[in-house]
Amino acid sequence: MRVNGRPRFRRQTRIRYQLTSLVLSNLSLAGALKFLPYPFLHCYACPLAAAACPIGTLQHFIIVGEIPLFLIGFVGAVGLLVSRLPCGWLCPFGFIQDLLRRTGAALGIYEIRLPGGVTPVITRLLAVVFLVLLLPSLTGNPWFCRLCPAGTLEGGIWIPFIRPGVLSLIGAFYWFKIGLLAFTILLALSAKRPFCRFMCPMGFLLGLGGGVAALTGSGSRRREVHVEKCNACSLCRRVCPADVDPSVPVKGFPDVLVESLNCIECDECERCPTGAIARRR
Amino acid sequence: MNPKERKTRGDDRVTKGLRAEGVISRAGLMTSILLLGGLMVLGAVRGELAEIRLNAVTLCLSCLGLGR
Repeated sequence: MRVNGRPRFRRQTRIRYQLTSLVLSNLSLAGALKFLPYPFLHCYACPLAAAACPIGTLQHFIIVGEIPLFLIGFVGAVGLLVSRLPCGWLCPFGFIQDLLRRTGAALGIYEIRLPGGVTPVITRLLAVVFLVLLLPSLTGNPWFCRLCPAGTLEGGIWIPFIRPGVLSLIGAFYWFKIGLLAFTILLALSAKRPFCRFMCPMGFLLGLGGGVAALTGSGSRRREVHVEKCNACSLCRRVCPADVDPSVPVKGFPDVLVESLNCIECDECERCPTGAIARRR
Repeated sequence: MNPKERKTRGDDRVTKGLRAEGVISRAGLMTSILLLGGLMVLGAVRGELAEIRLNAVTLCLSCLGLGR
């Protein structure tokens, strides 16, 4: 089906990509690809993880006092090429949160609207500065990993089953982590992607390329909002997994930038019934 | 905000789009990506891939809240 001469956005396509990524990133392959970081957050302690978590790796390099040139180049290049597209199309934990919110909606759970705009950008920045950079360098411990609910879900709850020896090491902090995961899951049932929007350091780093990314930001395929076609139905905001409202007028450069930092390039807003939001052709 | 106001206030967005155009030139962007690619090569030559792998395959207890 086409709207104003453009192909209508198909949600199933994104779900297929997310499912494929979930399978591929958990192929294990006996750790053969663990020298490469994922372009999204995925715990390498997960028994099935095929590659390395970029944030866990970054903390490791900070703890040992080395500059991770490969990782900086990799994350920077992904950010400048496609910005947060891996968040919207590939990240398994983002996919899980999408599913949780859809489940919540199907169960009739009321949607909590968390703050948008610059607030989530600041909280993600604080996670990068304190949990990924500062605390690991001061304490020698990867503090983001120690708190990360994605790590708890993908690795923390499985390791005790696979390696019963670690059971004796589990203490109160483990149960605190389980509590954090439970809180994140409960919140994701009623709010859109709470972890991605407020905590994910990878999302912050990739989002730095949001306004200018070569393939999604400033190139010929950039997304445009044709306000004269907008009938203010708010569908774009309602379907956006990152709770961005593309139909709110841009008042200046900072607003464009903030919007770009939060956008996960999922293209859901292109479901616009009047074709007001579409990529330039 | 009603649709009429939205249209009036947002007229210039039709050409601006959602993105921060003009922040960096196309050539500057491509140069930056190439430089980052160069960093990746430099890191790989320095042996960082082996260290990334070693770190990733080492049993990590951080997800148990215990550190490494």
